[in-house]
Amino acid sequence: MTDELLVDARSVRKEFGGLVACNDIDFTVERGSIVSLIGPNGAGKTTFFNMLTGSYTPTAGEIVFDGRDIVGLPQHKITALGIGRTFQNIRLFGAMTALENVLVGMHARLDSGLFRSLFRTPLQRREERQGRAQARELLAYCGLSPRAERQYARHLAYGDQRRVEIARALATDPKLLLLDEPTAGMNPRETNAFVDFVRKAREDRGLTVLLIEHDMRVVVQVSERVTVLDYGEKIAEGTPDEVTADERVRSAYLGTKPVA
Amino acid sequence: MGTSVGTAAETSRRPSFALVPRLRSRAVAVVGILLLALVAFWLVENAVHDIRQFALVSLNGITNGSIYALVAIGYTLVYGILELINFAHGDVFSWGAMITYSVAISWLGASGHSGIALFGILAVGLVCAALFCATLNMAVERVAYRRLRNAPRLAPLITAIGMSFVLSNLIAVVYGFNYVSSEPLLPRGALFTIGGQAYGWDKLIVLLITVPTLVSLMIVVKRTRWGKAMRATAQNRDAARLMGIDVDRAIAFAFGLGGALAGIGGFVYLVYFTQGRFDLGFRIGLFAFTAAVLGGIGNILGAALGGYLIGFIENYNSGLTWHAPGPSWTESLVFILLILILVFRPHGLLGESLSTRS
Amino acid sequence: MSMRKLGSILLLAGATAVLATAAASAGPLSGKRIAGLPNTCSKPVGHGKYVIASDFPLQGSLRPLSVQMVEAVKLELKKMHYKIGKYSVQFVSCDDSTAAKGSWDPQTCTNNANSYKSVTNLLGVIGTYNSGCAEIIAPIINRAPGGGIPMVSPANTYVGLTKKSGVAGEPQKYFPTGKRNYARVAVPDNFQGAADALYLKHRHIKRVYVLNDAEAYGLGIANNFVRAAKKLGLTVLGNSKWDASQPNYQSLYQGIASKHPQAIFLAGIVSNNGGQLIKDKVSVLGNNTKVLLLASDGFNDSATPKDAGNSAAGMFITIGGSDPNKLSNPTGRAFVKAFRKAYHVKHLEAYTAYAGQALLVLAHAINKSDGSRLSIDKHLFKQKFPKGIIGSFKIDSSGDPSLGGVTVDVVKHGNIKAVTTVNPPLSLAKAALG
Ligand SMILES: Nc1ncnc2c1ncn2[C@@H]1O[C@H](COP(=O)(O)OP(=O)(O)OP(=O)(O)O)[C@@H](O)[C@H]1O
Ligand SMILES: [Mg+2]
Repeated sequence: MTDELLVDARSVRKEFGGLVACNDIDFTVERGSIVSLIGPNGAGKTTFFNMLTGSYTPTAGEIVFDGRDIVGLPQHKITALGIGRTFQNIRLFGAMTALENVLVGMHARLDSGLFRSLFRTPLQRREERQGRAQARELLAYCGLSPRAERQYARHLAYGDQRRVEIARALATDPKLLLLDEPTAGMNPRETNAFVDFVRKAREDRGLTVLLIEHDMRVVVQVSERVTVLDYGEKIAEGTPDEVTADERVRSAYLGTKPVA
Repeated sequence: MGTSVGTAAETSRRPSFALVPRLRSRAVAVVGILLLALVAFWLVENAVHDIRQFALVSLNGITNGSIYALVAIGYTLVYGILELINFAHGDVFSWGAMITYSVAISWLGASGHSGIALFGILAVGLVCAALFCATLNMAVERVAYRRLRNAPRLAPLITAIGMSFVLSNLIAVVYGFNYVSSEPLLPRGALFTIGGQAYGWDKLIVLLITVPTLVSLMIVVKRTRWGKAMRATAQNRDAARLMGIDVDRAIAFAFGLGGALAGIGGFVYLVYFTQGRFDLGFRIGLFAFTAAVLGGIGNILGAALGGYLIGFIENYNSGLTWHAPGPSWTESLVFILLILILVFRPHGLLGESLSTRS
Repeated sequence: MSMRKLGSILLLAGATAVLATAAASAGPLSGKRIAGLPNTCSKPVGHGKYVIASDFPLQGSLRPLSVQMVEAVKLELKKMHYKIGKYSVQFVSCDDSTAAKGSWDPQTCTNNANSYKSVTNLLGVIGTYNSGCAEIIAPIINRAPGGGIPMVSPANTYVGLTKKSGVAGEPQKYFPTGKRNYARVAVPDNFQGAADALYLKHRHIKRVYVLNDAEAYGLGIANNFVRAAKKLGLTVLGNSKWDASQPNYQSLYQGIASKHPQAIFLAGIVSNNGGQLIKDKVSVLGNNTKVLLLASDGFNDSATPKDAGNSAAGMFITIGGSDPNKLSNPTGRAFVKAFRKAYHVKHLEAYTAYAGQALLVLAHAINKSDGSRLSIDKHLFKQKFPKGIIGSFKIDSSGDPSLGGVTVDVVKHGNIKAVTTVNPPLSLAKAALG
């Protein structure tokens, strides 16, 4: 049974001083599924992501990822276990090119140590060459034009920055991809394309996707299950239809933030 | 281009060294151009005055500058990644010189050899100095700075000053307060002469060591896995972690690289100038740090450029004869230049200029 | 330069830490520490109501020189059984240097001087070695309650300490009470500068370039030299500063090379990066036979051949006064013999005999005085020593000795050896004063 759960979080709690950002949340994600996490501003969604990736350590509770308890593991180890993410506010390495950003994402997959970094052996050069080719593919896969590859990330258009961020997250070769408000700032056409992309990526790469999303159309279109947070509490869970029909969700969430 | 460790996205958090951030009026620009023209005129006039001497002095400037460049990069790497002025870096450089003395001169007796034997001994000395200083710098980071990474910025700064004393006093404990000195090591025969003055092999050898070192460093930082990890860490530590980068190791890598360069710098200093003392790193460190700021702190190419610039100032100032202020003014001139650059280009020569900031 | 200042402050902080440890580990000599004196001073030797102190740089490259000066003073006191006339004295040796600098330190000089002021039964100070330190100490102890503390230096050669030098306010500014308390037995720099110029003329040098370290001593002797050289008809191609903190001086010499000098005169002290200065002279201008290298007595130190190595070979170094190892007068010979025996050394450093003589000058004045400092001060001047250690001489009314012989040494096989003595005529010495 647990084998089917990629994420199994139990009574996860996070407090900031007196503020309870996540209040004993139970949360599971099945392998291969696309799950949305929704809720009004300040509900604790990003905080929950941060606990999954190890940026925050839960005040209490346990998080099992792929059969391993990951609470307390350093972030880079968690990434290596297979969690990749994008940020609500884009956090690219601005002074690196798009290509380099993706190459950095491959860091954990490559294995040349500190010393071999200094003495660039033929093996290492080949590794670099292969990495570069893969990074190009990934960028193309995420829809970035080849011309943009060599530009500094900070000079890219917003939409391209989002693409690079996803490519970079995919470069870490994740089992679970966390997307924090990926469609923010996109126009409807781009949003539709994005929905298709997520579905395709799941098929192609055997991903499990967990996304935070405010756009209810996206949520309904893309996700198989939805979890709703409000003031750090989990107030509903189910299929998109079930959740949108839920009275508590309607008053707590839809009431404050109408469907766009 | 492309060798910057830091990023514009970070510059808002970063203390800009700007003294007069918005001083960009036309008048100021005119003053700046006039100053530049004055300096250019002075150089040209000196060159016309005695072209041979000018050439020789320029060559000295390149030689000395390449040592400053090696040391400056250590400051820039660490600043780029931790926003810390690693005051102890100059003393790591001193250690490089002293270790070279111990290994190449005291133990292996370099002064008694020539040819291949000398080459071998010096190669051993260089590797030892680089390894020792890389280890030393990483140890300093591990012992003194790591636990202060989230402390207020003043704490690691004061610690760095303290480490500087510890390192230089340790040299005094081991080697005493006086100079260690050796006979010329590098062949000093003339490679060519300019107006009867020799350009010795030793100067070329210095360049043959320093320039490839600088170039390989840039390749390492630009191309390799850990080089990229280091730059990523400098630009966004959180995001770097999420890319699976062990940030502690990336920082250690920066210290190791900077230390190795300082070690090579110390090696070159000792075999070229043939003397060293516990306080060697004080002035070299100060100038190298200035070079790093001149070039745009966090920018590796900039640091190298700044190093060469200071090498030129120092040598033009003491070697040119037409209205040169003289060596007593070198320090003042270097800092005047620093101030001017910070006024006109607050982020240094190759750093981000304010206007491109979002 | 403010950065430089910051640097020295930081350096000082480090030095204090080192000093504190060094002082703590210094072994006891005898007796208890004298109240009021700083811990840079040793415990006293001898016994008695009164105190005599010496003040020298006991750390760094000058240590061997300073140690012998201290021993010379002790030797003379011991001969007197620590009794000068009816006054019995104890002796303490104070240090005006720091380990970190490896040379004298202004702050330490100031501290020493202020503590001397507080010791009421201090009859006199033998010191200093460095003129720069004397410039600090003299005016402070001149204002000591109960009259300026008498001070006799065996080694200060800076002209301005006793006579007009061209610097505003000298020498009056060292004696703010208007009553002088300072004399010396060292030969003042104007004699040395004159002798240096004279020696170059003897060697048929016509074109000379001068480098100075910009300290009071170096700048002073450079100017003395330049005036004397011009008077003798030499061409002085330039007189510029060398910056002690510069890593090398190749460009500096390349600039000089274009003027084709036959000789370089170095005015300053070797601890100001003198080793590199000599190395680069040889590497750019050629060896010391090709272009003669002459240095003032700040280079008369075993550090010179040690730091400069083979590059120092054949360079000349002058020193005010006579070589103590070659004293020919009976008193001098007796002193050298006694010193060698007492301290088991063969080679006497440059100022060892002068230190013994300085003590005798002080003792003589104490003997003739009524025991008050003011009276001792008065008797320092116009003394005659027909049978002094350093020869027959007088102290003139400004506190200078009448002996002006200057020894020229050469560096050979890593040692400094006397070549000849130059006696500049008084007129040339006066011309050097400007
Ligand atoms: N590091 C922190 N320190 C203190 N409080 C925090 C911290 N991080 C988040 N919070 C608080 O926790 C609560 C939940 O924040 P969180 O960012 O998880 O909300 P969210 O659901 O992602 O909201 P949004 O839709 O606006 O992104 C907020 O009240 C926030 O202020
Ligand atoms: Mg959020």
